[in-house]
Amino acid sequence: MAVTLELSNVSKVFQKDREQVRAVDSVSLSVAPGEMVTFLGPSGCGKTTTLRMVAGFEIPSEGQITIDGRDVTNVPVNRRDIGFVFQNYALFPHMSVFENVAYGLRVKGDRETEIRRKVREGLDLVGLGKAEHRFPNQLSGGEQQRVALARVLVLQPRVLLMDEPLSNLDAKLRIHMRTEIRRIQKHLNVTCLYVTHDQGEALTMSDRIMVMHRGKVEQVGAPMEIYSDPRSLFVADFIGQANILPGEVRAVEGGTLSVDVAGHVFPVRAVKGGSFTTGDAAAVVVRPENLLPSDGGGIPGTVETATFLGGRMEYEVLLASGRTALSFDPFLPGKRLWSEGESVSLVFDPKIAVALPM
Amino acid sequence: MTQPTAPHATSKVSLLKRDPALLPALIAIWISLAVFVLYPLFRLFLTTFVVEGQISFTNLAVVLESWYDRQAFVNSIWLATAVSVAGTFLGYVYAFAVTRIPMPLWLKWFLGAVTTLPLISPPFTSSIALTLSLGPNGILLKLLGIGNFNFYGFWGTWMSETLTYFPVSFLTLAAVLTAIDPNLEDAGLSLGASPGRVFRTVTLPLSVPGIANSFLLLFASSLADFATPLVLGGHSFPVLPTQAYLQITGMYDLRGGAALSFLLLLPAMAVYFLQRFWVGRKNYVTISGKTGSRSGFKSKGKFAEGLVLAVCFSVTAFILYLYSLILLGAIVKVWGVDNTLTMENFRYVFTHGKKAIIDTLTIAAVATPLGGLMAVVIGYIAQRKRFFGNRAMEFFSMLNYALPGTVVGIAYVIAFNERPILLTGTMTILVAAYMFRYHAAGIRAVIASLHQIDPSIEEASSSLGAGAVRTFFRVTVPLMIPAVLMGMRYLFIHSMTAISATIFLVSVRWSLLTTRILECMTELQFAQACAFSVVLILLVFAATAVLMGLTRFATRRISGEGGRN
Ligand SMILES: Nc1ncnc2c1ncn2[C@@H]1O[C@H](COP(=O)(O)OP(=O)(O)OP(=O)(O)O)[C@@H](O)[C@H]1O
Ligand SMILES: [Mg+2]
Repeated sequence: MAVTLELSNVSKVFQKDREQVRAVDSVSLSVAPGEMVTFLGPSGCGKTTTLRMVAGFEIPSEGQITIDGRDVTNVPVNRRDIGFVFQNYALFPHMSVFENVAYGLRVKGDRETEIRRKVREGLDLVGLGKAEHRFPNQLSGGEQQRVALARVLVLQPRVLLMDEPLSNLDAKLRIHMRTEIRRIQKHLNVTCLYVTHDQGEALTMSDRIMVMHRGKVEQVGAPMEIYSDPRSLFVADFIGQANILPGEVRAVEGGTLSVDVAGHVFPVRAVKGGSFTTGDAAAVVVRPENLLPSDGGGIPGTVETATFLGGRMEYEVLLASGRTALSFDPFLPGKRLWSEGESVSLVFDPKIAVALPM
Repeated sequence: MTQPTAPHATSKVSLLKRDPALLPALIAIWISLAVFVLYPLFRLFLTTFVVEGQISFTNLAVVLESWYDRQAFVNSIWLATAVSVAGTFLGYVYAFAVTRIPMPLWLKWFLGAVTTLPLISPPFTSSIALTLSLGPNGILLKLLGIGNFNFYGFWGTWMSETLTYFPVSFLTLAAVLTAIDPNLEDAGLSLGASPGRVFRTVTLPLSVPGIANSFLLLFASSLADFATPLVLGGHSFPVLPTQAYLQITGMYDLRGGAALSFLLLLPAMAVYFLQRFWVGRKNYVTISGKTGSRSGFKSKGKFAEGLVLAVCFSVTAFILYLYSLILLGAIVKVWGVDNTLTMENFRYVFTHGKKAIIDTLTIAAVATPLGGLMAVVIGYIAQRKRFFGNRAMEFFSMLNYALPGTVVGIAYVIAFNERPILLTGTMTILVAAYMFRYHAAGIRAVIASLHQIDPSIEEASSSLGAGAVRTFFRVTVPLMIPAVLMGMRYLFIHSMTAISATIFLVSVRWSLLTTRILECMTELQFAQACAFSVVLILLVFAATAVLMGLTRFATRRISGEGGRN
């Protein structure tokens, strides 16, 4: 049965050349049994450090970590019942694939026949049934990756932790492996934390995404929610592509604002929990696929580049404010096209856009 | 950044809590370092600087006022300089030949093998052979028709030490030259420079840190060398180690010996610090990381190549000649007088020398695994555990190695000759002298190998449920084994062949092959000395071969080739 996992106000301070660095700053998160949460954020934002604290490789400077309701903050790694998959796989180079996978079982003191059965099962699960006598240096990156996965899965850990497990693989294999990992994680119903800085990976694999920035949590939510309702400009900009159009609040009616963007007033949804009053500056986040070119009635600009991408046209438009906006227009034969240098007017569906405080 | 935190206090406590084996290991290491490194040195200082309960410089003053002792100091420095210049030059020529001149693989291997001979031989070997050829009745003298050439003194010592120590320089410089990216030299050529100019402007400047390192290594070796000047120095060429030895064994003047060894300690420490904190670092930067392809070296010009190869081959031939002299010397009756072949000398070795053979082997066999274990634990803690006093621990564990053997020997004599720690005449004192002096190579090798092993491999083990001790023995140790075996090989060779420290420590109960050779030399029993040397070299060869085989086996296992076919 899957377990819950809870981080409350976890911080980590590193001493770096006499200076204290807050690599993780008051992170709180609660993960439901069997849930898969990805940590997403730019390099150096503290994803790995957070994950390593959950594993027990690092001791939090402050805060508490509980697994299944039990406080494990000071429990050593080897008694936490977690499985950790490393970015570089960390297979034991002096042991065969079989021995690598059997390692944890031997530590537990399972009987030899039991070990054999479980190792076979584990290797079959990741599709490597025939490789058990080989050594790590005789395997491809993807195979090593799967051995590393099998090695932790045979132990049936209560929590599965993965730190950018796919970053050393080529693009095609990465896409294959992420569905594979997700399938296995669902099949075994194990609570899982997954670190990545590939947003495609985060969006496709996770139940929820935790976006981090400078050691702090920016937002936690389901992929679609993060995409459609970014809580901060950082999240909006980091996940997917976003046009951030500055404007001014003209009126507030419940959850809807009337925002003046470049002289046009749009009724835009306010971000959840945001409080606005008339006269405030606001940023309207419009995804490029919602910002369409038209002949008039929208925000005026000049087409800077027009690129044909098969399924759609991509326009970079220079606005009067001096900013550049990105617009994706689905391509159909016979549709009106704009060419570089042409004047254009950009319109969007305000119901899909969201307004954030500036 | 606002809240004050004390992550350090907590993480240190929990480091000990999580790793329960760490504390006992640390305590054991520090106690043994205190007893066998710090305490003897402390006693040496006491003996030198405390006279009748007062701090005093009289002992040092007596030494400094003696013309003969001052001469010994000057000679030591002068000899060390001359040896390091000549040895580094020879080493560079060899390294250049092997890394830059195209030659068949077997020839490279052959040059390498011949240069390892002096490295694993007892320190007298070249001295004996040189005496046989250039000393009184020397065959080379007869051949060249030179009548009375006084070989004893500076020239003999210099020549013998250069031949003995240049292989160290060769190994150091070959590593440095290999690490230089060949593209840099190709770039020089492609910009229109001649091969000679490329050598002067690219290769040589890039190898300067290596040259400096080799220079310091040879300087330290020559400064500390005891056996060669004892055999070849003669009365007219005193140096500090022999002077200190004669002061103690000849005149029973422990204070004078201590003061002399203090004089020896000063330049030795200066060289050690230079090597460690200045050149050592630079050198590391040059070597690390780059491994260009080594195939495309262009010709360096026929004349230069010919010259380099000529030097290499003549030196190699000379070394082989010296070693065959030892063999010949062991199987003739009286060298240069009665050249009938005989097995008499070997019979002598296996009867009168039997005890020395067994003692030497026993001591080496005990010191080697113990030293290997120490190297593993010290190297591991120094590299992997961030702990207070780590750097000090590493430093002190290398200290006996950095000090000249004579200094260590005298310090041990002073420290362990009386209560509370009475060890004179025991095997313990000999084993400890070798262990704490020669495990340094093992510690270095372990640290270097741990640099290559990503910590995540050990973390993987503990995340799979293994405790610290199990992780250490099942994962870390197997990966360090090639390094440990390398260190043990070094320790074994030196436990069999070193003499400078242990000559003060031998007793009726425990004798050593090396001291037996020295006795034969002083009694002018050259044939027996040769026979002893041959036996010793063969023993070392055999043991080295076994350890090398083990290393190769272990390395293969680790790189995973055991699973092929
Ligand atoms: N052992 C350490 N000592 C000192 N500083 C550290 C240590 N480990 C991490 N840091 C610092 O903490 C911050 C967060 O590092 P972390 O590895 O968690 O980032 P990350 O989000 O995983 O980044 P990446 O995507 O590049 O892997 C960085 O500024 C890093 O330099
Ligand atoms: Mg990371």
